Amino acid sequence: MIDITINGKGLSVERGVTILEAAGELGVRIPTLCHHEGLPPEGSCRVCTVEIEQRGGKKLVASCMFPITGPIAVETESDRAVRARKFVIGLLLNRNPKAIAINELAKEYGVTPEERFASEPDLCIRCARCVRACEINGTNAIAPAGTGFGRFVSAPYGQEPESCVGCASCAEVCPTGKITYNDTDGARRIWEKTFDLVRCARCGAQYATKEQIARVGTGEEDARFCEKCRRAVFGERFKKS
Amino acid sequence: MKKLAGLDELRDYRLSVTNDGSLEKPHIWVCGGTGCLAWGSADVLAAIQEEIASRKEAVTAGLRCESAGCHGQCERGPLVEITPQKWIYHKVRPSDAGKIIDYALRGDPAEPTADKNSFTSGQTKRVLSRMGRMSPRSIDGYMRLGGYEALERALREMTPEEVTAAVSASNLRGRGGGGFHAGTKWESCRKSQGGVKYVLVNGDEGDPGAFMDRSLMEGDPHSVLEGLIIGGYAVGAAEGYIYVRNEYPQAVANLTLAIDDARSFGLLGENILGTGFNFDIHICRGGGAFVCGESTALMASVEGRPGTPRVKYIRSTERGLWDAPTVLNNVETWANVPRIILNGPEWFKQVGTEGSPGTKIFALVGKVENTGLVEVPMGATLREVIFGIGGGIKKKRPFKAVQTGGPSGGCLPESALETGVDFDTLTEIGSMMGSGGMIVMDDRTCMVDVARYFTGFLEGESCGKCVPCREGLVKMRKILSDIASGKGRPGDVELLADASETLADTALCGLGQSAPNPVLSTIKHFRDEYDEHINEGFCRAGVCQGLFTAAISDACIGCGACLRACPANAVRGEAKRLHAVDARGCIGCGACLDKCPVNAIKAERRSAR
Amino acid sequence: MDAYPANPRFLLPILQDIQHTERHLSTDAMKAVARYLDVPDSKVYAVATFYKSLSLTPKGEVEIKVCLGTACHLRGAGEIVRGLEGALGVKAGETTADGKFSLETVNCLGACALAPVVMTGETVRGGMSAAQILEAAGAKS
Repeated sequence: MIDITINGKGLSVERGVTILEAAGELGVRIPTLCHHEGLPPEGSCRVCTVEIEQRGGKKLVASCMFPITGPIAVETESDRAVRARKFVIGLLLNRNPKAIAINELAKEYGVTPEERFASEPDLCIRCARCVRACEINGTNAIAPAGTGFGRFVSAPYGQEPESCVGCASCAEVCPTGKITYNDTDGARRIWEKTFDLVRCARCGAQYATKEQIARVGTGEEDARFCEKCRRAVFGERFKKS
Repeated sequence: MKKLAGLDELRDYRLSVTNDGSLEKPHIWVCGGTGCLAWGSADVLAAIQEEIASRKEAVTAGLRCESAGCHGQCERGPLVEITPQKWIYHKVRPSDAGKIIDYALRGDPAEPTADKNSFTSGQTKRVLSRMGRMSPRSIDGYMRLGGYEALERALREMTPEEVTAAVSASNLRGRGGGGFHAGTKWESCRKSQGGVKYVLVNGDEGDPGAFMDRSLMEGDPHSVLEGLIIGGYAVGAAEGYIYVRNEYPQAVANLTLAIDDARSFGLLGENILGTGFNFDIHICRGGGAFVCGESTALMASVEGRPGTPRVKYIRSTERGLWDAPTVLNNVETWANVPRIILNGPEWFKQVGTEGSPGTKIFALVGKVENTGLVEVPMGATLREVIFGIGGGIKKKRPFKAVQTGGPSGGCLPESALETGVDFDTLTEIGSMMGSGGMIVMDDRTCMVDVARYFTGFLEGESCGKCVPCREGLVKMRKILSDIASGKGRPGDVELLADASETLADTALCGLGQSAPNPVLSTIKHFRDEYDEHINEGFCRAGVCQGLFTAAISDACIGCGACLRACPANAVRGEAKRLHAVDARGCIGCGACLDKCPVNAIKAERRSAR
Repeated sequence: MDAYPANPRFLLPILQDIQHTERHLSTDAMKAVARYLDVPDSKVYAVATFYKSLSLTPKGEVEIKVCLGTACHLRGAGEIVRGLEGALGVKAGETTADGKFSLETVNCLGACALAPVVMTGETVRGGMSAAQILEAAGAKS
């Protein structure tokens, strides 16, 4: 166990725990954007930046990724950390003025837009949560393309993504609402591709696309039900047996 | 080519080529580096070879003429060297073939040679000692000049721990710019758990104005291989990768041939020289991305992914290429290793400073008389390099600044000229050593334009992953473009400095973390220029279009060069009489400023209309 | 492609080879590489759009590359780019309509003593004006 302090409060953590996780244990909130509990960390938005003192020196690190391997003193709202956070929020506000998540952060930190540096408004903040979600599902239908300011998340070749199964995990994790999907009349439309939705035989909910079920390899009998109903059906059968 | 089965066979072979008499015979070497090739050295090579073939005495004497690596004084190419005397000739033309052959055969230079000038005499050649007097495509040639003796020594007499200890004791610091203690890296990797380990060469020399690594990879490829094989032995790696910039096809070709030859000789592969050590080397070509010079981005690229860096909270020596313990070092760092093993750490430390022992290769370019490749002991002053070896500023214009470290470095003013080049001193005064690019600037360089140039460069090379760099560089560049075009606002310098500092503090990788250096160093040392651009719309260097007007002094000799150069017909004057610029017609383009043979034209403030 | 083992780490060199022979990466070519290496299309596309040496649109028969390294910048590379843009009728990064010439700006080529440096095809040339470069490249200025 390693002894650390966060904003002066002491805590013992296991080796390898991130500062963000440790802060969570203490109930200390650090703002994040590209971080998502179900996904591997990216460390790219830099909103979670904190200041640490380690072996006599101070530096800024991304708390979502920094593994604790020795005693450190963490300050989550030091002048230097706040300056860094405001800088990043300001840059995002100039490019993504309509994103609610950014506006909330801007309000919290007193950041105002700079018209001189505003660019074409865009909802995508390049956090790549969508990409990581698609990756972790094993689908890999989308990836970041291009470089620098021109970096964008894309289906390959500028065409509709062949491997996309319409699971909409990307839309679910998108923090700004850039990725949207439309479920109407038994069909789902996402990434300009249309999928057939399957209805649960028990509760009637449209719970997944045909392609998603095929990809996951769910058995024909189980696929008739949504996950919740599947458990209920199993429970009923178990009771009867 | 016969495979050498043991250390004794290697020794015998090395000695046999060293003592075969070639070193005593006259030999002509024509520089085949990219610079001299552009000057037309291929034609010079062909001309000399043809003439030798047609002269009986040359053939009987066994005179040969071959292409060699960079001789260094690129400004004066094509360069030719005659050995064993080491006479160097400049600006050689194909028609000089006869003369050169005469000198070589007669053993008489007959005309002043260039090797005695300040360019050569001011240098200390260790890493570059073989360059230019051997064929980069011949493993025999490399061995003849001492090559692979270090590898023999390491495998015969030293354990991996001892090799690592020698590199550590030498205090060799990374020559790619980071200046990190190489031995510490090696030791950390050696100790890391894991059966599979890698050693990598960073040949992605992306700093504009730097060509030290290109010259080494083209001109002495085996020195890099030998260093890498020794490194693999030291840390326990069985595979090495050389990552070469895509824009260096000759380097790729020469390294590939060198690797093939080394394999044929049994210096690479399984059970090298019967020692049980297995090691092989592969080449990876870069894809044209500057960011791939960053170590984690380079590794991503080798793995077949886009070159986006990762945070370095876990060192590559623990988890690097394919998550295995990895040592990544720069080309020049690896090239230093064989001599350290052969001559020992104390020899290495005889030259240089305590904090930065050894020598450093610089690419000296810009507004200096003798541009080219130079090697000096660490601690040599900037003045010695620029005014001694470099011969001072071209056209005797006033010195303004020297930029070291490429886009990660800073611009230093005249007051810094007495500083010795050394990792720590350069960092202390606001720049950094960097990979070795040294760009000299005169009064016709606008420091705001330089800051804008570097920021724009980095903006274009940003991988786009993290917010501060991706979005922040755009903001910085916009401010600088505004200032450079006369649209700067009061407070812009403070805004720029603040954004720069915060970007450095927040960025994910070294590209963003060092991006502010050119900006902050120019603000620190050349603040007046920023203020003049913003408050007066004036560019004193006569670079930023429209922010000055040309003015001709009475030093004018009436040659009319400026009149002919002016695109706006704003110059008036008769032949051999004083010329003058019509300030209202002058568009501030700067075309005339460099054309004047007597420096009589200056940039002046535009008067209000 | 067959020259390389079907290992994802050869993605970049394979694409570079295709770029060299076809002068660009077509969607069909990229899809074929994805199949051969068993790498997702999205990852192939990511690599194809990341590296500047690769392009999705065809390059000209002769590529004119103007070095924008520091030494070249200080010796007027910007002027040369403007001159070539005017003469060829394309912006840097584009190819002429007849497919003969493409104009690029590139990073330092490492021949700084010859600044400003331009490559026409495989040949490195130094100290030339825009007009001289066009002539050397075989274009009418």
